[in-house]
Amino acid sequence: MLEHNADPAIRSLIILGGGTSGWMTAAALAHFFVPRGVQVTLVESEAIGTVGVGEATLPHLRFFNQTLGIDEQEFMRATGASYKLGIEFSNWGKQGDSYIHPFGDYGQDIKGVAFHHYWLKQYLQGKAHPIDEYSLPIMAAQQNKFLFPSSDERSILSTFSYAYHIDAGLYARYLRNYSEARGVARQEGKVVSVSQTDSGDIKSITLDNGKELAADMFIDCSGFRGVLIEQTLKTGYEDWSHWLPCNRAVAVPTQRSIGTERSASFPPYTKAIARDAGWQWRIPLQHRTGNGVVYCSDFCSDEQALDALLKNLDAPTTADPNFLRFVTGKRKQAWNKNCVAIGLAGGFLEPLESTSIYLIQIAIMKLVEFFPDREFDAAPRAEFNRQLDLEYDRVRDFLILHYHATQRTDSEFWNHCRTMKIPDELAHKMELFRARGHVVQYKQGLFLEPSWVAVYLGQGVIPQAFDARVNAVSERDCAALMAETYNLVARASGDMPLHEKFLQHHLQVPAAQYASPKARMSLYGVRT
Amino acid sequence: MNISSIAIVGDSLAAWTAAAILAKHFAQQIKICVLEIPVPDDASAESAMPSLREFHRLLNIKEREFFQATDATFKLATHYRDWLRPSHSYWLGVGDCGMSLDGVEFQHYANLLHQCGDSTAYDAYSLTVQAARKRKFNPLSNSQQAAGFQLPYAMHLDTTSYKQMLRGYATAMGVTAIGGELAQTELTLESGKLRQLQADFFIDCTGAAGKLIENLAPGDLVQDGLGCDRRLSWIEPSPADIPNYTTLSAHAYGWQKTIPLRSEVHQHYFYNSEFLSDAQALEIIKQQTTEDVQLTNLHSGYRPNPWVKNCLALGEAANGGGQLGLSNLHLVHTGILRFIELFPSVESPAFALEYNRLTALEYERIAHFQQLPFALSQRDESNFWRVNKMHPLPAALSHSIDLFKQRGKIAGHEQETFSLPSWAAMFLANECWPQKYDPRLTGIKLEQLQQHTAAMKTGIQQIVNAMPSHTEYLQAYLKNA
Repeated sequence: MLEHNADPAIRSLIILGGGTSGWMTAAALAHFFVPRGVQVTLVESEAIGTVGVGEATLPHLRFFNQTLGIDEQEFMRATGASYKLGIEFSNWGKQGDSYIHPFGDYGQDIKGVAFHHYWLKQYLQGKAHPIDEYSLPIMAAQQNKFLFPSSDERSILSTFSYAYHIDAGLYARYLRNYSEARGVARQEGKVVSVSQTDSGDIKSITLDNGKELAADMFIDCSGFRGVLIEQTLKTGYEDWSHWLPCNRAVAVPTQRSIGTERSASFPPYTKAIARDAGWQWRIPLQHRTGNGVVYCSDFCSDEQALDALLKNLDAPTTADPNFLRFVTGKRKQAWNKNCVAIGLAGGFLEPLESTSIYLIQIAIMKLVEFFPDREFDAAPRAEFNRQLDLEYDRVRDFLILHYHATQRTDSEFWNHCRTMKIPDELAHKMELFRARGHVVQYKQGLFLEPSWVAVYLGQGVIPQAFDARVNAVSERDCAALMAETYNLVARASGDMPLHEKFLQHHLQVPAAQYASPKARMSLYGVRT
Repeated sequence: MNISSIAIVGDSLAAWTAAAILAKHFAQQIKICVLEIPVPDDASAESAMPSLREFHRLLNIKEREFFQATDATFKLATHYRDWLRPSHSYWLGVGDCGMSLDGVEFQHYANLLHQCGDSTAYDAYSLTVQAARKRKFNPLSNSQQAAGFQLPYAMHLDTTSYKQMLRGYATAMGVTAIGGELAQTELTLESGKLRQLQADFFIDCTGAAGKLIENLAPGDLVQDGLGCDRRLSWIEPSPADIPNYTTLSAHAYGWQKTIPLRSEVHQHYFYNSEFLSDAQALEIIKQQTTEDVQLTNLHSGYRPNPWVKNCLALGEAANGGGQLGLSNLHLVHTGILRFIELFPSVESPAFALEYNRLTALEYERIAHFQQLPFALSQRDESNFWRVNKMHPLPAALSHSIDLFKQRGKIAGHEQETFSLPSWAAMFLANECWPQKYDPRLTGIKLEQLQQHTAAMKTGIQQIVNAMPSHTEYLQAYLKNA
């Protein structure tokens, strides 16, 4: 019989910090490595609050949950979740503007050329409907409707995907139960000191109760402070606040319950409303609405921010406002020595496009893929860092675009964003879109062509020309194809049930009747 | 820039490939002509990549007509002989080995079994390699495909007749061919204008000389470093049992590429004149063949800026296709399709910038892949191989090799031409078994895994056994036209 030799496998691992990142990491390790003999301990303190980042998620979270075998209905109930088809951005390009960045495509390719080029030709001649009306998730969202997407590529219902709005605190609690049931140990306590080996690896942490905990490997989920990755290992931080200047947030929940007279307007999307010195979010959950303002302290005081937030709420608050501070950027190496930083300890790119939980998830998935042994080989670590850097860089450029592509001149903050120097790569991308609607293509990255098109067009970056291949399709054929998509979208979105009704129904149906669609690591539908 | 006319310069396969696809997209809007100046160094046969089939689909070219016109054969694999060391050989199939299970790539399972003492060669899991070894071919049935098997393939083709075929296609679509005296005069492109011919945009397909691009960007060329600078070519009659694979044989001073067509086998012997004189090379070849042998000087390396102003270099004018010249035609396809994707409808330097950025990334990935047989070779019996051994590897390639040797991981990059499983197959073919197995496989039930892989091997052998020979298949395929 064949046998394989025991290699110097990781025997023990400590996750420092609970919260979303800590418990997501714990759950993934409980699934992949606890059964393979790795002892996982999560250390957290009730005394340290967690930052409830990203209550709005991306479709990738469905893939994470499905990989871990988490039942969607149970998850929806446990986290107060609602469904999400995209994000509505108001007042970004200019005051009074509004567009939705959908989890889906516009129309469909014709002869290998993206739909938006055909649309542009018609639009430049004043003959097209707004491009939103060729996107099913946008039209559904505008009518507060929702239906599961289809995996049948012939169906218009295959042109979108969906995510959730969740209570991140409840999600962490849910994953804690999941992890503990699968053998993850939880240890209450605050770190008071950290000891390192001669080579600089982390050897153990000592808690305020006097306990010393040693492990082969450490995951730093301690938040902005980065107790291990920064305070101990001095890894360094790349500060991006010259591009993404917001550095404060204030959050407050308000009442919301489904099944009230407001239920017809229970939106299946997140709202991001630009304000004088930042923006306001609104996230609809079953039991409450998450609200907050992200702002830049150079242009707005904490009092002004809170005042602006409270003035723009549509229901009574249910808790005291919670102020947060951050510096946008990323850790120079998310994986340094025997320590991997996940979540805010690894970097922070403000919640504008709901990327916080996605970036946690991607770091966890790459950790699983490049899971080390006690020799901590250099090449896999370098590859982990290289791939994660690429993710951060590309998300960063996409976020900067939202601030920079504006015509607003009504506040110092927007004047700053409009005129600031942007990364060369982004300037190049914008130039190509302006010139002829070309979206720079890449495979490894979160936001692909439909997302860039949504933000460019939504914020007034209109190309001067379109792909020349469009002219090879006759005006008549082109108009007919566009009309067909338009009609399909109008009919399909009209036929969908209200988000509220769909959610109510699916929270209550017997588990056997709840058939959630198969998830993929993509922001878009199967057909895209 | 409003382009209403394009002049393609050079009577090469690259030129007519570009003309055909440009005509397909733009014939109604743009005047396209090909100035047929002779290009002496076009290779006489091509070993294409599977992307050729995709290209034909874009042009609506029927595969059977292509086969009839170009003396073509199917290509399922590349046979590398004597590369790792003399008397050793390995095969690299078109398409992937095995199938990933539970989200973990197949090479990790093969590696685990190898560490447990299993001595199965990795290519036992490649249907294309197994069929190529026996020179067999047959498209898969629906039930075989439903069982998860695939048989992707490429083709070998005769350059001259294929060029004629595309010329016919393009001219029928309205492309003008300009030959005669005009094609014989000296070319110069000055401030965006060619003396002979007015056009808004020029595509330089004049071969390695790059007559137009060299005028706009003199000497802007990066050397690959490892290249051979000479090629001896000759043609032999085909054997009765026609191979469905390309052979690359390493020798003391370079290597030999063998491309089998239906009626002829095209042989190309590459060497470096620093280590072997032309006379010595001819001497060696005379022992192999009595046919006429043709000598060509090669220019290795690539242009970092193939698009300059209103001129795009394509084919040998842009690059030598990598150290093994395995991707020449493929790079013509991706090059012209990328140009169409970025077709400049307004004045902006961003188009050329983006084209050159993507092309450089793509070329680097191809060059690194083709450098692997050199980088991993144990040969050192001549200066050619000793110099190769001393040649420092690019940092990204060293990283890829380290990463694979430690854990069997592939460093994925943008603009990758060879799939990640192909990279893994190349490493494993070179006996680079990773030192460690993937921790995700700890505790896996080995008996089950072995049953699974055994079933995979048996399935492949059954399919191959039932196939007709490549020659028989070709005869039937072409008779049924």
